[in-house]
Amino acid sequence: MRKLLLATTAVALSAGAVSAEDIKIGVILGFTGPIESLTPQMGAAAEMAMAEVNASGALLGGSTVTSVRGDSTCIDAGAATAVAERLITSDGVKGIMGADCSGVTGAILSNVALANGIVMISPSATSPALSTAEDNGLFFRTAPSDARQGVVMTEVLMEEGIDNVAVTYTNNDYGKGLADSFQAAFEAAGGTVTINAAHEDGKADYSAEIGALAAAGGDRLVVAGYVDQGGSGIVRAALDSGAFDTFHFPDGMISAKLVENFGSDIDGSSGQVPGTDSAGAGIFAAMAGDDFDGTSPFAAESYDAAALIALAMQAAGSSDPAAYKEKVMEVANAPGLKIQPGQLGLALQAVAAGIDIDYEGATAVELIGGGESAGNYRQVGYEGGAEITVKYR
Amino acid sequence: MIDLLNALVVLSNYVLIPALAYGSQLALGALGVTLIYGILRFSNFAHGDTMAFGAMVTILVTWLFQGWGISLGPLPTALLAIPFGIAATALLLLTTDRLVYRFYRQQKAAPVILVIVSMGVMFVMNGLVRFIIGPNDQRFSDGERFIISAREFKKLTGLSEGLAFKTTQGITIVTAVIVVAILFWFLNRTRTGKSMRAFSDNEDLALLSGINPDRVVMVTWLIVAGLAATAGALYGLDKSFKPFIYLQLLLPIFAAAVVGGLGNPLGAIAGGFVIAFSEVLITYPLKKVLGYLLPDRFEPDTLVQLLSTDYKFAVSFTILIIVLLFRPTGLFKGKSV
Amino acid sequence: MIKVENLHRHFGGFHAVDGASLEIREGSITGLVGPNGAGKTTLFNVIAGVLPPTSGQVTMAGEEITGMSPHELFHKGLLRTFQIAHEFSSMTVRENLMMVPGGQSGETLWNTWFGRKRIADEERALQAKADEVLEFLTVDHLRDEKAGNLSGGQKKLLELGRTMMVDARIVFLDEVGAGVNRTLLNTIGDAIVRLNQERGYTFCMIEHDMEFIGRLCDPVIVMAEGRVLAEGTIDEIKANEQVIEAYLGTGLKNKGAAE
Repeated sequence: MRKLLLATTAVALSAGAVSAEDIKIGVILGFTGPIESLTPQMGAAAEMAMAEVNASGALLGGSTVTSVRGDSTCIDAGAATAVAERLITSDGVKGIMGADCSGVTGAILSNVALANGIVMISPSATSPALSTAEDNGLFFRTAPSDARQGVVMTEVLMEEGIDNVAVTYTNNDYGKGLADSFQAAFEAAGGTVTINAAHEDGKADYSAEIGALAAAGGDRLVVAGYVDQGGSGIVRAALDSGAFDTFHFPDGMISAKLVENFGSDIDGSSGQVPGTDSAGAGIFAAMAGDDFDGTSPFAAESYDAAALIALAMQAAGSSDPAAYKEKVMEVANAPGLKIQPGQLGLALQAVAAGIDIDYEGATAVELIGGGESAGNYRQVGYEGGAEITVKYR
Repeated sequence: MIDLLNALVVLSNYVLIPALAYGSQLALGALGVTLIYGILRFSNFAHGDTMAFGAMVTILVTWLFQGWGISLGPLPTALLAIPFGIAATALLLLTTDRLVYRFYRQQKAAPVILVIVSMGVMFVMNGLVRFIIGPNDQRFSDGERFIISAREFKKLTGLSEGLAFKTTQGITIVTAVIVVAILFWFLNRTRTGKSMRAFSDNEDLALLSGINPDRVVMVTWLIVAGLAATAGALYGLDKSFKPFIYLQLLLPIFAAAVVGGLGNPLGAIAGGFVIAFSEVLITYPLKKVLGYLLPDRFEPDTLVQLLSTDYKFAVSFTILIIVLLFRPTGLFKGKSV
Repeated sequence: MIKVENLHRHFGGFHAVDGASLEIREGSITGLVGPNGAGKTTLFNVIAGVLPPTSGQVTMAGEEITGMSPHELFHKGLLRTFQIAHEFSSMTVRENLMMVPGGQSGETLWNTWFGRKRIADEERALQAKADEVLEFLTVDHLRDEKAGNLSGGQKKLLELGRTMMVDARIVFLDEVGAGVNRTLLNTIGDAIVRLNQERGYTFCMIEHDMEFIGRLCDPVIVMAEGRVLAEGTIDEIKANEQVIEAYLGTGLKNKGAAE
């Protein structure tokens, strides 16, 4: 408390030193297109963070942040690039909260952000390819890369003492990416993947696929599919033929439907799904209140992305992307004062006072590698025909 | 010895039993296609969706029965509902014939035109089914799931491999045998059946022998309705019901009919099993089986899988093309395609 | 018996039958001759209901039968055979014959299941009749042979036998003698005469073998270019200038005259 008081005083003192400005921040999301049902909540969450910053009056000597929205379309790289170009050159945004889908995010990053030296923090792009894209330290994301789940899966299985598994994945980018990243992580950890085979969704009969998986063998079958699609068919066929008794389910399979379909037949199976038990999520949802649905996918990540931009600016003492890009990781990670949603004003004052902060936010943000969320997963198990939460990791 | 038994059990569990059940379903479907080809002289592309329609009605009636608490004990309730499926399908087919096919028959339209017409009918039926029951998976099996489950089998025999025999597989095979027996008795021993064969053999002569074509056509549709609804319901019961699946099923069914010889009922049955066994065997990795059979040092490292399961449909396609190239009349002498 | 009036059948611009009028008397064996392309088979097809006429009228014993379908005509006692013999190749000779009589009780699905006794009685009667027909045609040794394995001549006999399974009134024979050896041809000829005399069948036959025609037919009708050219006894026809012209062509006749 003493530190905080100190901070407040410091801010008051320094208020006159930096001249206040109106900082524009781009919010580039697919307001039209395949995820248009999610983006209004995502945009609102980001703007809620900005309003909170403005209300505190603590940012860079009373500066304010203003949202400038742009439509990424989610799928049209050309349109997204044009929008980003306009926002940077004509509106003069100093940072971009976005974009949303992996494809357009990569396009904006390489075509516009890199050339203009603008910081991007994406709340929802999960493609592993973005981890290795050239970004000059400008690109961050508050969502975990899909590759991350493969690592978490490996940890879960290894802890249960399983080191020999068969893998089947739904034949699309999600399934293949997840299966490949899992195989890489699992084998690096000393496990054996006996087979890594695709299955097509929407078939009536998966006995042939199960025949191949059973022939290869394994202590557990990893089903990187969808519970509403082929994933359940695979599990059904495996149980019917007695090929596998226990399974491991990644996020696409974990749902009430799975338990409804198979009941106690899958007892002893394991799985994991993105999720956190941190207090932040609840606080964030309460803050969203009736304005928008705070539990909508990627809304919390959007809030965190916008908050991180403001906090990094504060830490750098400047709204210049070249300066504040260095501070993003610093404010996001430990050590420091833990910051929950709704405490942005406090955080800004603390930073101004030179106190180190660890932004937890709505999604317990921890940035790893080149600046992407480590993600939080709920490890689940199945007992007596019900899903149980083993722990959070 | 134990190894040999284990190998046999693995092969039965993953190849013989599934292929036998699948083959029975294909044979029933191919019989319908072949009857229409023989008597009405066109390849009916709407057959897959006819099966879907029959299965759909069966499902709806099953749900109704389940709602009323009617059940067959260990057997699936759907067995009680199949007759309703057949009746509704018969009504649908006779209506379709009256509204669509009869017109083209009277025009003496070329077979290729009828094929195109049947594709139109296919889309309408497909739409109808999806409109009524929706495009999603439906499960309607109840009762005892297994005649013997893998776990029970292991416990019973002490073998390290399990053998699962599902109730639906058993029902499929038994029903197929009964239906085929009745059909053959009908075609060979009854006057109506002989009229149909005569009509298929030589239409002109049949007409000049005083056989009423309208009656033959009607009877044909009725039998086809029975076959299609039964095949569709059994397939849905054994696997799962999804309208689009039946569209995809059209390829192996036609392959079966052509391989056996279009217009030849015996060929359709043989073709059904040829296709089913080829599909299952070619995509099945023999690693485990060979592992039991061969001495340890010869045990294969690879899966010994001829073709990935993704290419299952390619098997039907390839067989279809080979047969058309080298023996267009099929294994049993049917009509040339 | 059969009266054809001003019958036309066109295939696009080609007038296969172009205003033919003729009459087939009850109890006769009428021969129908003419050069190739004279329209004889088309005329048969129109009368037998295989093809609809473009215009014109066909009556049978005063009743109009124009455009009726083959199976309806069958039940009126009008039967035909084909130029190239047709048979149900996968059935035995006896089964082929037993197929013939229409309207059997076994033809309804209901009786198939619930009228077994009636069907069995009927089948027995049919079988006896088929055997009788085979004996009549002196081919009872072929009874259980698959019809597809018969020789061309035997198939023609089978066609004739088919007409005997019911009480036909008029039978159209399309080149029943073509490609048949002498012995078998005599058997067929004898059968036709006996059927005509003993059972009162009326026959109308297309034939190219003039000797065969001469032995059986009276009258003989000559067709050319879709019309009836002449009608009379075989001797009258042979002497008819127009007929010779139609058969041989004008050039040939002149050539013959010059020689």
